[in-house]
Amino acid sequence: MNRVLLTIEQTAELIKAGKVLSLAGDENLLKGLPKGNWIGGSIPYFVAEDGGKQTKESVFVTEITEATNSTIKIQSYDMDTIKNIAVEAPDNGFTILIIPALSAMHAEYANHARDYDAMFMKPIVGWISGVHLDDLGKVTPKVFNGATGEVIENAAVALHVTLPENKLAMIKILNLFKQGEGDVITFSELGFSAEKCLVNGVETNFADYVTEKKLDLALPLVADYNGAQINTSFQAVDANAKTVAFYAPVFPGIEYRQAAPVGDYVSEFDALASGSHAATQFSCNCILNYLYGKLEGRKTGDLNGPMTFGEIAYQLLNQTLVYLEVTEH
Amino acid sequence: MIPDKSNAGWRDLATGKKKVVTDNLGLQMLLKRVVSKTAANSAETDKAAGELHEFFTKYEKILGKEIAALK
Repeated sequence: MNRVLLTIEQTAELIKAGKVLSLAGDENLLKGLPKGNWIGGSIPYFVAEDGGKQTKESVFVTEITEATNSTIKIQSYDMDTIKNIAVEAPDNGFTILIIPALSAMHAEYANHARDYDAMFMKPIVGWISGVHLDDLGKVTPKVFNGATGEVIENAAVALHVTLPENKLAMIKILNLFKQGEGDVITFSELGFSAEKCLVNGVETNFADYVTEKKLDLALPLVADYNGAQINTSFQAVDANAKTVAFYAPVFPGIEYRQAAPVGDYVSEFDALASGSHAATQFSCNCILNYLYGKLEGRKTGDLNGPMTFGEIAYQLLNQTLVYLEVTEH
Repeated sequence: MIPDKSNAGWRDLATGKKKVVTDNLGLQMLLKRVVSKTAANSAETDKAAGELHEFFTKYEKILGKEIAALK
Protein backbone atom coordinates (compact mmCIF):
# COMPACT_ATOMS: atom_id res chain seq x y z
CA MET A 1 0.00 0.00 0.00
CA ASN A 2 1.33 3.42 -0.89
CA ARG A 3 -0.38 5.37 1.92
CA VAL A 4 0.77 4.55 5.46
CA LEU A 5 1.80 6.02 8.80
CA LEU A 6 5.55 5.77 9.31
CA THR A 7 8.18 6.96 11.74
CA ILE A 8 10.32 9.95 10.87
CA GLU A 9 13.25 7.60 10.38
CA GLN A 10 11.33 5.39 7.94
CA THR A 11 10.16 8.50 6.07
CA ALA A 12 13.72 9.83 5.82
CA GLU A 13 14.87 6.50 4.34
CA LEU A 14 12.22 6.72 1.63
CA ILE A 15 13.31 10.27 0.83
CA LYS A 16 16.96 9.21 0.63
CA ALA A 17 15.93 6.36 -1.66
CA GLY A 18 14.57 8.97 -4.08
CA LYS A 19 10.90 8.14 -3.67
CA VAL A 20 8.35 10.77 -4.67
CA LEU A 21 6.23 11.53 -1.62
CA SER A 22 3.40 13.65 -0.34
CA LEU A 23 3.69 13.89 3.43
CA ALA A 24 1.40 14.89 6.26
CA GLY A 25 2.41 15.26 9.88
CA ASP A 26 3.26 17.54 12.74
CA GLU A 27 5.46 20.42 11.59
CA ASN A 28 8.20 19.55 14.06
CA LEU A 29 8.49 16.11 12.44
CA LEU A 30 8.47 17.38 8.86
CA LYS A 31 11.08 20.06 9.65
CA GLY A 32 13.55 17.30 10.49
CA LEU A 33 13.35 15.57 7.13
CA PRO A 34 16.08 15.73 4.49
CA LYS A 35 15.55 17.43 1.18
CA GLY A 36 14.20 15.31 -1.62
CA ASN A 37 11.30 14.60 -3.92
CA TRP A 38 8.55 15.55 -1.52
CA ILE A 39 5.98 18.09 -0.50
CA GLY A 40 4.25 18.18 2.84
CA GLY A 41 1.72 19.81 5.08
CA SER A 42 1.13 20.01 8.80
CA ILE A 43 -1.74 18.04 10.32
CA PRO A 44 -2.01 15.48 13.15
CA TYR A 45 -5.22 13.71 12.11
CA PHE A 46 -5.26 10.67 9.85
CA VAL A 47 -7.19 7.61 8.81
CA ALA A 48 -4.61 4.85 8.44
CA GLU A 49 -4.41 1.06 8.46
CA ASP A 50 -5.83 0.82 11.99
CA GLY A 51 -8.42 3.52 11.45
CA GLY A 52 -8.61 7.12 12.55
CA LYS A 53 -5.72 8.36 14.64
CA GLN A 54 -4.41 11.63 15.95
CA THR A 55 -0.68 11.75 16.54
CA LYS A 56 2.26 14.13 16.43
CA GLU A 57 4.68 11.17 16.43
CA SER A 58 4.11 9.70 12.97
CA VAL A 59 4.16 10.90 9.38
CA PHE A 60 1.45 9.93 6.93
CA VAL A 61 3.36 9.00 3.82
CA THR A 62 1.73 8.92 0.41
CA GLU A 63 4.17 7.44 -2.07
CA ILE A 64 3.40 8.58 -5.60
CA THR A 65 4.25 5.29 -7.27
CA GLU A 66 3.43 6.64 -10.74
CA ALA A 67 6.20 9.24 -10.43
CA THR A 68 9.98 9.25 -10.59
CA ASN A 69 12.56 11.97 -10.12
CA SER A 70 12.51 12.68 -13.86
CA THR A 71 8.75 13.01 -14.21
CA ILE A 72 8.04 15.53 -11.46
CA LYS A 73 8.35 19.21 -10.76
CA ILE A 74 8.02 20.62 -7.25
CA GLN A 75 6.98 24.24 -7.22
CA SER A 76 6.03 26.82 -4.61
CA TYR A 77 3.33 29.29 -5.60
CA ASP A 78 2.76 32.72 -4.10
CA MET A 79 -0.19 35.08 -4.39
CA ASP A 80 1.04 36.37 -7.76
CA THR A 81 1.72 32.98 -9.35
CA ILE A 82 -0.95 30.63 -7.98
CA LYS A 83 -3.29 31.63 -10.78
CA ASN A 84 -0.92 29.84 -13.18
CA ILE A 85 -1.11 26.48 -11.46
CA ALA A 86 -3.33 24.77 -14.00
CA VAL A 87 -1.48 26.28 -16.96
CA GLU A 88 1.82 25.01 -15.52
CA ALA A 89 0.45 21.56 -14.69
CA PRO A 90 1.52 18.81 -17.09
CA ASP A 91 -0.56 18.31 -20.22
CA ASN A 92 -1.01 14.68 -19.18
CA GLY A 93 -0.57 14.06 -15.50
CA PHE A 94 -1.76 15.44 -12.22
CA THR A 95 -0.87 17.91 -9.52
CA ILE A 96 -0.95 17.56 -5.75
CA LEU A 97 -1.36 20.94 -4.08
CA ILE A 98 -1.10 21.75 -0.38
CA ILE A 99 -2.13 25.13 1.04
CA PRO A 100 -1.87 26.36 4.65
CA ALA A 101 -5.20 26.92 6.35
CA LEU A 102 -6.12 30.42 7.51
CA SER A 103 -3.62 32.01 5.11
CA ALA A 104 -4.29 34.60 2.44
CA MET A 105 -3.45 31.84 -0.06
CA HIS A 106 -6.22 29.67 1.38
CA ALA A 107 -8.77 32.42 0.78
CA GLU A 108 -7.37 33.28 -2.66
CA TYR A 109 -7.52 29.68 -3.90
CA ALA A 110 -10.94 29.04 -2.40
CA ASN A 111 -12.43 32.18 -3.90
CA HIS A 112 -10.79 32.23 -7.31
CA ALA A 113 -9.35 28.85 -8.35
CA ARG A 114 -12.39 27.94 -10.41
CA ASP A 115 -11.63 30.92 -12.65
CA TYR A 116 -7.91 30.22 -13.14
CA ASP A 117 -6.87 29.61 -16.73
CA ALA A 118 -7.09 25.90 -17.67
CA MET A 119 -8.74 24.97 -14.37
CA PHE A 120 -10.68 21.67 -14.77
CA MET A 121 -8.58 20.77 -17.83
CA LYS A 122 -5.90 19.12 -15.69
CA PRO A 123 -6.41 17.16 -12.47
CA ILE A 124 -5.42 19.12 -9.37
CA VAL A 125 -5.97 17.43 -6.01
CA GLY A 126 -4.71 18.23 -2.58
CA TRP A 127 -5.53 19.54 0.82
CA ILE A 128 -5.45 22.38 3.27
CA SER A 129 -2.87 21.86 6.00
CA GLY A 130 -3.80 22.49 9.61
CA VAL A 131 -2.85 21.99 13.24
CA HIS A 132 -4.07 20.11 16.26
CA LEU A 133 -7.34 21.73 17.30
CA ASP A 134 -5.83 22.47 20.73
CA ASP A 135 -3.12 24.50 18.95
CA LEU A 136 -5.48 26.73 16.97
CA GLY A 137 -4.45 30.32 17.45
CA LYS A 138 -1.07 29.31 18.89
CA VAL A 139 0.56 27.57 15.91
CA THR A 140 0.07 28.39 12.24
CA PRO A 141 -0.47 25.68 9.62
CA LYS A 142 2.54 25.06 7.38
CA VAL A 143 3.40 23.55 4.01
CA PHE A 144 6.77 22.17 3.03
CA ASN A 145 8.72 22.27 -0.21
CA GLY A 146 10.88 19.20 0.24
CA ALA A 147 13.01 20.04 -2.79
CA THR A 148 14.21 23.36 -1.36
CA GLY A 149 13.74 22.72 2.35
CA GLU A 150 11.40 25.71 2.71
CA VAL A 151 8.83 25.74 5.51
CA ILE A 152 6.02 28.02 4.36
CA GLU A 153 2.99 29.53 6.03
CA ASN A 154 1.84 31.96 3.36
CA ALA A 155 2.23 30.16 0.04
CA ALA A 156 1.26 26.88 -1.62
CA VAL A 157 3.38 23.92 -2.67
CA ALA A 158 2.66 21.75 -5.66
CA LEU A 159 3.95 18.44 -6.93
CA HIS A 160 3.39 18.24 -10.68
CA VAL A 161 3.56 14.68 -12.04
CA THR A 162 3.78 13.91 -15.76
CA LEU A 163 2.29 10.63 -16.91
CA PRO A 164 3.04 8.64 -20.06
CA GLU A 165 0.49 8.84 -22.87
CA ASN A 166 -1.05 5.48 -22.05
CA LYS A 167 -2.05 6.57 -18.53
CA LEU A 168 -4.68 8.98 -17.28
CA ALA A 169 -5.32 10.55 -13.88
CA MET A 170 -8.88 11.01 -12.67
CA ILE A 171 -10.16 12.77 -9.59
CA LYS A 172 -13.01 11.12 -7.72
CA ILE A 173 -14.94 12.26 -4.68
CA LEU A 174 -16.99 10.42 -2.08
CA ASN A 175 -19.50 12.66 -0.38
CA LEU A 176 -21.75 11.35 2.37
CA PHE A 177 -24.04 14.30 1.88
CA LYS A 178 -26.74 14.95 -0.66
CA GLN A 179 -29.00 17.93 -1.02
CA GLY A 180 -32.01 17.65 1.26
CA GLU A 181 -35.55 18.56 0.35
CA GLY A 182 -35.51 21.88 2.22
CA ASP A 183 -35.32 25.51 1.20
CA VAL A 184 -33.30 26.73 -1.75
CA ILE A 185 -30.73 29.24 -0.53
CA THR A 186 -28.73 31.59 -2.73
CA PHE A 187 -26.20 34.28 -1.99
CA SER A 188 -25.51 37.43 -3.95
CA GLU A 189 -21.89 37.75 -2.83
CA LEU A 190 -18.89 35.47 -2.93
CA GLY A 191 -17.31 34.86 0.44
CA PHE A 192 -16.48 32.75 3.46
CA SER A 193 -19.25 34.46 5.38
CA ALA A 194 -22.73 35.65 4.61
CA GLU A 195 -25.16 38.10 6.07
CA LYS A 196 -28.00 38.26 3.57
CA CYS A 197 -29.31 35.47 1.42
CA LEU A 198 -32.39 34.59 -0.56
CA VAL A 199 -34.44 31.74 0.86
CA ASN A 200 -36.72 30.47 -1.89
CA GLY A 201 -36.26 33.88 -3.50
CA VAL A 202 -37.07 35.92 -0.39
CA GLU A 203 -34.34 38.10 1.14
CA THR A 204 -33.47 36.93 4.62
CA ASN A 205 -30.71 37.35 7.16
CA PHE A 206 -28.96 34.01 7.01
CA ALA A 207 -27.92 33.93 10.70
CA ASP A 208 -31.55 34.51 11.71
CA TYR A 209 -32.67 31.78 9.33
CA VAL A 210 -30.15 29.26 10.67
CA THR A 211 -31.15 30.05 14.26
CA GLU A 212 -34.91 30.06 13.71
CA LYS A 213 -34.81 26.82 11.75
CA LYS A 214 -32.46 25.29 14.33
CA LEU A 215 -30.29 23.93 11.52
CA ASP A 216 -27.87 21.16 12.46
CA LEU A 217 -24.56 22.80 11.59
CA ALA A 218 -22.90 19.41 11.12
CA LEU A 219 -24.92 19.11 7.91
CA PRO A 220 -23.33 21.30 5.23
CA LEU A 221 -24.95 23.35 2.51
CA VAL A 222 -24.84 21.27 -0.67
CA ALA A 223 -24.85 22.45 -4.28
CA ASP A 224 -25.60 20.18 -7.21
CA TYR A 225 -22.84 20.50 -9.81
CA ASN A 226 -24.42 18.53 -12.65
CA GLY A 227 -24.73 15.48 -10.45
CA ALA A 228 -21.70 16.06 -8.22
CA GLN A 229 -22.75 17.03 -4.70
CA ILE A 230 -20.45 19.82 -3.50
CA ASN A 231 -20.45 20.87 0.17
CA THR A 232 -19.94 24.14 1.95
CA SER A 233 -19.52 23.45 5.66
CA PHE A 234 -20.76 25.66 8.46
CA GLN A 235 -18.10 27.10 10.74
CA ALA A 236 -20.06 29.32 13.13
CA VAL A 237 -23.04 31.61 13.58
CA ASP A 238 -22.33 35.03 15.03
CA ALA A 239 -25.65 36.01 16.56
CA ASN A 240 -24.42 39.51 17.45
CA ALA A 241 -23.00 40.38 14.04
CA LYS A 242 -25.78 38.37 12.39
CA THR A 243 -23.37 36.59 10.09
CA VAL A 244 -22.65 32.97 9.30
CA ALA A 245 -19.10 31.78 8.62
CA PHE A 246 -18.22 28.82 6.41
CA TYR A 247 -15.17 26.66 5.76
CA ALA A 248 -15.38 27.37 2.03
CA PRO A 249 -16.87 30.30 0.16
CA VAL A 250 -20.42 30.46 -1.07
CA PHE A 251 -20.73 31.57 -4.70
CA PRO A 252 -23.41 33.72 -6.31
CA GLY A 253 -25.45 31.98 -8.96
CA ILE A 254 -25.37 28.64 -7.13
CA GLU A 255 -28.43 27.12 -5.46
CA TYR A 256 -27.74 25.54 -2.09
CA ARG A 257 -29.87 23.30 0.09
CA GLN A 258 -28.83 21.96 3.42
CA ALA A 259 -27.76 18.32 3.31
CA ALA A 260 -30.19 15.56 4.24
CA PRO A 261 -29.26 13.81 7.50
CA VAL A 262 -26.87 10.88 7.28
CA GLY A 263 -26.54 7.81 9.46
CA ASP A 264 -23.32 6.33 10.79
CA TYR A 265 -20.39 7.88 8.91
CA VAL A 266 -18.36 4.67 8.80
CA SER A 267 -21.24 2.59 7.44
CA GLU A 268 -22.00 5.30 4.89
CA PHE A 269 -18.34 5.59 3.80
CA ASP A 270 -18.09 1.80 3.60
CA ALA A 271 -21.07 1.72 1.31
CA LEU A 272 -19.59 4.44 -0.91
CA ALA A 273 -16.01 3.20 -0.76
CA SER A 274 -16.69 -0.49 -1.25
CA GLY A 275 -14.10 -2.49 -3.08
CA SER A 276 -10.42 -2.02 -3.67
CA HIS A 277 -8.91 1.21 -4.87
CA ALA A 278 -5.57 -0.15 -5.98
CA ALA A 279 -5.14 2.57 -8.61
CA THR A 280 -5.29 5.33 -6.00
CA GLN A 281 -2.24 7.58 -5.85
CA PHE A 282 -3.61 10.09 -3.35
CA SER A 283 -6.48 10.34 -0.90
CA CYS A 284 -7.59 12.74 1.82
CA ASN A 285 -10.68 13.43 3.88
CA CYS A 286 -12.00 16.18 6.12
CA ILE A 287 -11.34 16.87 9.81
CA LEU A 288 -15.08 17.54 10.16
CA ASN A 289 -15.84 13.99 9.01
CA TYR A 290 -13.23 12.77 11.53
CA LEU A 291 -14.92 14.69 14.35
CA TYR A 292 -18.63 14.41 13.49
CA GLY A 293 -18.21 10.83 12.31
CA LYS A 294 -16.20 9.83 15.39
CA LEU A 295 -13.66 8.18 13.11
CA GLU A 296 -10.95 7.64 15.75
CA GLY A 297 -10.09 3.93 15.54
CA ARG A 298 -12.49 3.43 12.62
CA LYS A 299 -11.78 3.05 8.90
CA THR A 300 -13.23 4.44 5.70
CA GLY A 301 -12.72 1.53 3.32
CA ASP A 302 -9.16 1.45 1.99
CA LEU A 303 -9.01 5.15 1.22
CA ASN A 304 -6.55 6.18 3.90
CA GLY A 305 -5.11 9.65 4.18
CA PRO A 306 -4.77 12.83 6.20
CA MET A 307 -7.90 14.36 7.70
CA THR A 308 -7.56 17.93 6.61
CA PHE A 309 -8.76 21.48 7.03
CA GLY A 310 -10.16 21.38 3.49
CA GLU A 311 -9.84 19.18 0.43
CA ILE A 312 -8.87 20.17 -3.07
CA ALA A 313 -10.50 18.58 -6.11
CA TYR A 314 -9.82 21.37 -8.58
CA GLN A 315 -11.67 23.72 -6.19
CA LEU A 316 -11.74 23.76 -2.41
CA LEU A 317 -14.20 21.23 -1.00
CA ASN A 318 -15.48 20.52 2.51
CA GLN A 319 -16.49 17.34 4.31
CA THR A 320 -15.55 15.23 1.28
CA LEU A 321 -13.24 12.29 0.66
CA VAL A 322 -11.13 13.12 -2.38
CA TYR A 323 -8.97 10.62 -4.19
CA LEU A 324 -7.03 10.41 -7.43
CA GLU A 325 -6.61 7.31 -9.53
CA VAL A 326 -4.17 6.63 -12.34
CA THR A 327 -5.26 4.03 -14.86
CA GLU A 328 -4.17 2.82 -18.28
CA HIS A 329 -6.07 3.94 -21.36
CA MET B 1 -16.40 12.16 -33.33
CA ILE B 2 -16.65 15.46 -31.48
CA PRO B 3 -18.84 18.14 -33.09
CA ASP B 4 -16.85 20.96 -34.62
CA LYS B 5 -16.10 23.96 -32.41
CA SER B 6 -18.51 26.05 -34.54
CA ASN B 7 -21.42 23.71 -33.79
CA ALA B 8 -24.21 25.60 -32.00
CA GLY B 9 -24.52 22.74 -29.54
CA TRP B 10 -21.47 23.98 -27.65
CA ARG B 11 -23.13 27.32 -26.97
CA ASP B 12 -26.25 25.49 -25.86
CA LEU B 13 -24.17 23.43 -23.46
CA ALA B 14 -22.42 26.57 -22.17
CA THR B 15 -25.70 28.30 -21.40
CA GLY B 16 -27.35 25.24 -19.86
CA LYS B 17 -29.93 25.07 -22.64
CA LYS B 18 -28.53 21.63 -23.44
CA LYS B 19 -27.62 19.23 -20.65
CA VAL B 20 -25.28 16.28 -20.62
CA VAL B 21 -25.21 13.53 -18.01
CA THR B 22 -21.71 12.78 -16.80
CA ASP B 23 -19.88 11.41 -13.79
CA ASN B 24 -16.60 13.07 -14.81
CA LEU B 25 -15.92 15.48 -11.94
CA GLY B 26 -13.88 17.91 -14.03
CA LEU B 27 -16.70 18.21 -16.57
CA GLN B 28 -19.36 18.51 -13.85
CA MET B 29 -17.46 21.41 -12.29
CA LEU B 30 -16.56 23.05 -15.60
CA LEU B 31 -20.19 22.99 -16.68
CA LYS B 32 -21.27 24.52 -13.39
CA ARG B 33 -18.81 27.36 -13.73
CA VAL B 34 -19.52 28.17 -17.37
CA VAL B 35 -23.30 28.03 -17.01
CA SER B 36 -23.23 30.38 -14.02
CA LYS B 37 -20.83 32.73 -15.84
CA THR B 38 -22.92 32.83 -19.02
CA ALA B 39 -26.10 33.36 -17.00
CA ALA B 40 -24.48 36.41 -15.40
CA ASN B 41 -22.96 37.66 -18.66
CA SER B 42 -23.99 36.35 -22.05
CA ALA B 43 -20.83 37.83 -23.59
CA GLU B 44 -18.97 34.92 -21.94
CA THR B 45 -20.82 32.33 -24.04
CA ASP B 46 -18.38 31.97 -26.93
CA LYS B 47 -15.39 31.64 -24.58
CA ALA B 48 -17.30 29.10 -22.50
CA ALA B 49 -18.27 27.11 -25.57
CA GLY B 50 -14.63 27.03 -26.58
CA GLU B 51 -13.58 25.75 -23.16
CA LEU B 52 -16.11 22.95 -23.34
CA HIS B 53 -14.98 21.96 -26.83
CA GLU B 54 -11.37 21.94 -25.59
CA PHE B 55 -12.30 19.73 -22.63
CA PHE B 56 -14.17 17.24 -24.76
CA THR B 57 -11.31 17.16 -27.27
CA LYS B 58 -8.73 16.48 -24.58
CA TYR B 59 -10.78 13.75 -22.88
CA GLU B 60 -12.44 12.28 -25.97
CA LYS B 61 -11.25 8.78 -25.07
CA ILE B 62 -13.20 8.68 -21.81
CA LEU B 63 -16.27 10.76 -22.70
CA GLY B 64 -17.89 8.36 -25.17
CA LYS B 65 -21.39 8.41 -23.75
CA GLU B 66 -21.25 12.18 -23.21
CA ILE B 67 -20.16 12.74 -26.84
CA ALA B 68 -22.89 10.43 -28.12
CA ALA B 69 -25.43 12.44 -26.15
CA LEU B 70 -24.24 15.68 -27.77
CA LYS B 71 -25.35 14.55 -31.20
